[in-house]
Amino acid sequence: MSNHNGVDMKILSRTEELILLAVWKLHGQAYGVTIRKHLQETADLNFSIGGIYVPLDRLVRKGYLVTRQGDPTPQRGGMSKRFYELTAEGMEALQEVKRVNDLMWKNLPDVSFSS
Amino acid sequence: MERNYKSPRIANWLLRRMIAVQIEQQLMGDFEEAYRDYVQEYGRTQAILWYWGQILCSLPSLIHSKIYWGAHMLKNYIKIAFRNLLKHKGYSFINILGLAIGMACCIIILLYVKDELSYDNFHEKGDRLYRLTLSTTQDQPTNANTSFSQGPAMAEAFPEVASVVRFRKMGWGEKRVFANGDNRFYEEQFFFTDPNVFEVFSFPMIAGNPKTALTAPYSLVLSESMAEKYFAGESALGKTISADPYNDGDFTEFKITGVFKDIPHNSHIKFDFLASFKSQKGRMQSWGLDPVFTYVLLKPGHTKKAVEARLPALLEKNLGDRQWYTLHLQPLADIRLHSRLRAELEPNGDINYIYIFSAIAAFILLIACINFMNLATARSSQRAKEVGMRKVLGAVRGQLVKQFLGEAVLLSIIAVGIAFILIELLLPVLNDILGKAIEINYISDVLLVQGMCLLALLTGVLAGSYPAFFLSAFRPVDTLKGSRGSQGDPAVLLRKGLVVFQFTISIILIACTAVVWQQMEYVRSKNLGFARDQILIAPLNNDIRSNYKTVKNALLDHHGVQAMGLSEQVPAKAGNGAQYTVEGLEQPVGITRFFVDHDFLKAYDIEVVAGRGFSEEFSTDASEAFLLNETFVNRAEWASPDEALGRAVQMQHARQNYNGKIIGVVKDFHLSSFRNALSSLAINIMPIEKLNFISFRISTENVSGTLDHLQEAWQTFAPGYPFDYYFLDDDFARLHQADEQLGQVFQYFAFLAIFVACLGLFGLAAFTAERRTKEIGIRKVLGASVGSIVLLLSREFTRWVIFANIIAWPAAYLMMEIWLQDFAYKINVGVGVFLFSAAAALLIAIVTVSLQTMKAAIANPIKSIRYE
Repeated sequence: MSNHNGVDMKILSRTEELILLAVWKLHGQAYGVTIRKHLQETADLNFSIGGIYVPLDRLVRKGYLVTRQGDPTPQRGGMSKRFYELTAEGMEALQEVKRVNDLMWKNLPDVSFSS
Repeated sequence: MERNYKSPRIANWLLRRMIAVQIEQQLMGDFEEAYRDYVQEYGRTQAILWYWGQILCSLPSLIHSKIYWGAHMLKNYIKIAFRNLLKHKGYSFINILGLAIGMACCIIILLYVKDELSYDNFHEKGDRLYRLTLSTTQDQPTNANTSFSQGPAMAEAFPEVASVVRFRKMGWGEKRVFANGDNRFYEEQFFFTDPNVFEVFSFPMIAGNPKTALTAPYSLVLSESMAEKYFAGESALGKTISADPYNDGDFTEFKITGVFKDIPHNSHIKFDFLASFKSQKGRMQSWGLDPVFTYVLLKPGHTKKAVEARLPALLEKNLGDRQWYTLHLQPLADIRLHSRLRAELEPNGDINYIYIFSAIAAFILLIACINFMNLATARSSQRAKEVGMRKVLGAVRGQLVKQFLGEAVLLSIIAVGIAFILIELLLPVLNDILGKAIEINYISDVLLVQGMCLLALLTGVLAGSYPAFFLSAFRPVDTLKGSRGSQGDPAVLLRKGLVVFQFTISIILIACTAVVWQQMEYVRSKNLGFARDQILIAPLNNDIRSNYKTVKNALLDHHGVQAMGLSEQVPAKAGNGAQYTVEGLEQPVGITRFFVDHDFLKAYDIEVVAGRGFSEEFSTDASEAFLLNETFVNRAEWASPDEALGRAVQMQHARQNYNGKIIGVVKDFHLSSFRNALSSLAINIMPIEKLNFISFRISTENVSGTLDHLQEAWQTFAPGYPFDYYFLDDDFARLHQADEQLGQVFQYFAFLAIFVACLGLFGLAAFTAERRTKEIGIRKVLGASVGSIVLLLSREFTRWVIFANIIAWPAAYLMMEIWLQDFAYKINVGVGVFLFSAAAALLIAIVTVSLQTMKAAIANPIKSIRYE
């Protein structure tokens, strides 16, 4: 059930990168609501409550995230949470993105923008 | 305050419908939590709006996940279904085979019904086309044939009538010689027809002008295959063909003015040759009963009723006070399935048979579905653990229902595949019985393929619904603790009921088969009034007529030929009548006429009960002697046949009056099917020119030797005519062809029904034996004999079958009484039939069950007790 169709599967989309970073950042407290809120506040990225699960599911399928069933809480009307955690592959993918980014940013010539 | 935090109920309800059950927890929770945050921040009203907005925005992803999880579960269901199928090969086999047989029956019947319904539906103007029928009993139509003059008179007098087409049939089932040089054949399908035939009916022409082809005298059109037969490889158009349409040796040259496409098999009227109406010899005007079939095309917007209302006035005008019949219109579409008149152009189907066959097919499928239900519920304890486990792991009831239904559908899809193999095997048998050429075209028949898929789905749902709801209702705690046993199972009663139902249907079918068979045996063997298996009939022709005395001596000069006689009509083909005025009867009567020669009665060995038969010794016999049959005497309400003797008779035939006296009364003999009561009959001698058939009574020994002799003698006197003979009993059998077919189809269906029912019984018996293995072991250890254990296990099943008998008997009796009602001559349905079907069903059931119980009873008890 994997989506490996490219040559280098470590390349992530921008959304995926941000979500992985959010999960990392939220460390242990990452589930639908918090991830969504975090993305909204830091990156101005707006997902609907249901929509956030599309990339999340995809990342789980790719093996970058794993899930863990939480306990039900009264704030959630007795429903349980589904927590997300980064896997080693997820971490690796993030590092790879960063490495490529850094490489691309290095030694860029100065460009003056005329307005 | 807390109350305000509650998320909107309607929105939540809607949300719950749309969320795949696998992600319900996390998503509903998220929605709830986010909503609460929002309420705290912005207040309730805004939050509700926002909530709805969120639901709307989430819609695409919700649907996506629903489909994703749905596909996921489907894969799982199919996997489990296959595992179950393979794990219980025996049950799967029984289920699939049963369903396949049921479906094959359904599809075959569907094809048959489709074929029957397709009759005469290809005529563009079909909805406005009617056949004129005639009634001699004043109410229901009795005859499909009419006369020459009615059609044209209607076309002239009725503004509602657009056009009229007449078909004149030559003789009743007699063949006529057609010839192109040395290419000579006897042909049956030949009519004289009005020129507008191709405008009224949609029989496409390949060559020639459909409008004018039959306008000129002595023009003729023929079918594609006949053109090929007589003019192989050449164009037939413009050539001539000679024929002897009146079978009087007078060959007529016809010019071929057109070729039409072969008449499709689903037309009630079939012809190979059509000659123009104007080519006929003699008077073509008559208001009597002629071998003429009249079809009326009404103008658009006019009803049958309006035209029928005008018919009495037309008869009044032309017949005056001698109106011995009434006229009716019959829609073209009704002819195939709703018409059973005298002189039909070909044996028709019967709408009742369509109902009967359809019901039987549905019942067989139902029996197979019941098997499925029974076996599934019987095995429920085995599957209960699976159900419990699934429920514990979070499956909801709807999912389980879906799973079990899915399993049933999968099974029925496999069954459809096998059904097609069965159809390929069974269709030739059915075609053979029914004389049809039904076939399946898998590629072009889209409707059929769709129907198949639908049937598979329907069968699956039908068969799977009960087990699905039954099994999914189990409480996980019960099943996992293993407390769910066979005892006190509410399904047991239902199971019994269903088995009883299956056997009831099977027994009904067996009983019906037996009754139909008995009636057919009666039809085959009842004394017709003459020795039917000894009579051989051939058409007369002029070569024979002109030389009859010599021919007769030559033909009789063989020990195998016992007697011979001539007649205008012969039994099983008779249809023509005449009008008789008999001294002592107030009204003239229109009854069946029978023209013969001096020897006919002797040839058929027909007994004379009063007076005397025809004799050469009385010179007046040849012109003025009449014989009546017993039915005539009874209808006239004369005290005894002797009272008829000496009365004066006047017969009107072909515009001529024949006067004479009644010299005798003959014992009744059958002229038509056993469905019709005997008709009144008058017999007299006519000159040989008026007679059409020669009948031989031959000895039953060395028939082929006798035939060789007749053939040889025939060829020396009539070299231009093949010796085209047939046996009278074959012709009689053809009259009851439809009933004979019904009997045979019944036989097959009864067999299939009981086979499928036994499959189910076999499965149940196997299951019971398996469940009671331990009990049987203990019983054996304690000293029970094999016999007593077989008895123990069979007793219950036997009781069911006996119970089924009690229900089946009255039902079968009623059905058969209804069927037999149509016969004027029939058997009495006796107890024997029911005892027979009871015994048959019981025997089959016991044998089926014993196969299993014996195995269980013989098994070594040590193994069965240790089987934990």
